[in-house]
Amino acid sequence: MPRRRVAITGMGVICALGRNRQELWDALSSGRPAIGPIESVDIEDLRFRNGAQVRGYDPAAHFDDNRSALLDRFAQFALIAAREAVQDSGVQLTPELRENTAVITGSSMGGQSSQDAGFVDLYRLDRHRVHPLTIPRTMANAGASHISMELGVVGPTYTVSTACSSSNHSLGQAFRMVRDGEVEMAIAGGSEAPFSLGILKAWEAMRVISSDTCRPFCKDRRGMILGEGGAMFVLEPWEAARARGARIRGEIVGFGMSADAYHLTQPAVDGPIRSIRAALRDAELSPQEIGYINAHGTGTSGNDACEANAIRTVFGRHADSLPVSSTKSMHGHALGGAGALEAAATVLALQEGLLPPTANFTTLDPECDLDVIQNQARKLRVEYALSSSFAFGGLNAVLVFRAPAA
Amino acid sequence: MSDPLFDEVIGILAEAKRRPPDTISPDSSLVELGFDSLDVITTVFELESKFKISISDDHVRTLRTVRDVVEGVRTLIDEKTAHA
Repeated sequence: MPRRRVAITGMGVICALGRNRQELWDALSSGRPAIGPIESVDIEDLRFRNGAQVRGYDPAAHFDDNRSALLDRFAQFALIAAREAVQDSGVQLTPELRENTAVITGSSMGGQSSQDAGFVDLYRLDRHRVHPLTIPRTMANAGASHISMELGVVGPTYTVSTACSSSNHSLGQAFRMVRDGEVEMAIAGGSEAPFSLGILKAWEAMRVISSDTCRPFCKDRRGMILGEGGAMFVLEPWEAARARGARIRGEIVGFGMSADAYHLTQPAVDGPIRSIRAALRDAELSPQEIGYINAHGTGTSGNDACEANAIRTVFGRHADSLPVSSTKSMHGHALGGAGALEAAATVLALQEGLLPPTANFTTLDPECDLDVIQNQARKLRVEYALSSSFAFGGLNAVLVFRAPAA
Repeated sequence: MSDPLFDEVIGILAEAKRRPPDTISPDSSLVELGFDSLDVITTVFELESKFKISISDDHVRTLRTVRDVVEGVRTLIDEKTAHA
């Protein structure tokens, strides 16, 4: 079967920047970060204080009590984003389409907050037992399963867990299944909710969390800021989307993957280079045709310099005028959900002709010699953009997006 | 003159990299001894437990040599003692 064009017809988001697509865009386009003191966890004993949390979140606004009991926060975010995405797409889920739709989600940690709470009961409170819903709440595929059940989607449904590349891998898999004709629609993205004490202490011990804020590519960057949330997309064959008169928000046109085979946590430059090149090859584009990069840009000393090196190597002189930003400076690093949030930022940027900035920007690190969009969004209409994820474990996944046809 | 703290810290570093303590000197660089970023945070974790101190992330980023590690630990122990 010939390759089909893949349209993005629906998008749903919930994260620290907003509880829906519009709120996300309002914050991104004005360069307004959502980083602040962590609220839901007692941080007295933590070395860091700040995170990017969904403020004022009330599960009861989205789920009845019976349903909430089954859903860890990460799965709630997956479901809320999927609902918005499907509604946004306007698609009618017929029985036939339900059989030919995939649900692919990404999550790095799954519902470990639920597990953490269960272990508090067991080890600290000496209750000798753990809540019976701990396993179904914790499993990393809970988001995908709940989306499938709520929508009655019975096609290929699974979850990808590749640390911080999870969502890019899930979106890339979904893109290829639609492109290759394996399914007629996909609901894909990812979510994460890592704000529980046990998880935060584990991140503290990694010593990669900033004590103040996240300032990717800056000389004085001090690390990442954890975030939470989820984003989901509806992908359809472009022709089918056109035929039903759907509004097309953009396209996914390429996907590239690679592994560093080097170190569990230290970044390498070779793997990212190969994944970017693989994505360009898949999209049949030359480096010069890329007009914006939504970078992995964690704000750690290791990642940003290495990523800048990879971009320089692939794009050469074009990198002098190739706008790059890391929106993690605003929505934090949502780990397995990060790629989905950044895909949302990238698709909206292409659609609106406005490239979101790297917030909290101070002074460019000479080792990150790129055209970083600093603090204020840049008005620029571009046709193609990259969104990169380079995960712990050396697993890299890069997506190429195209603006909707004018 | 023997310095018990040096000996203790070198013992922990030697254990971490599975090498004889006498191959480690105060001026040895951590990189030369084969410490990567995970080795450093794991060893700092051991040192914090052993000496009941807390080493800040910023401090960890400045550690280059064995002497840096020992003197850093010594300062934190002294501060803890002064506040006791």
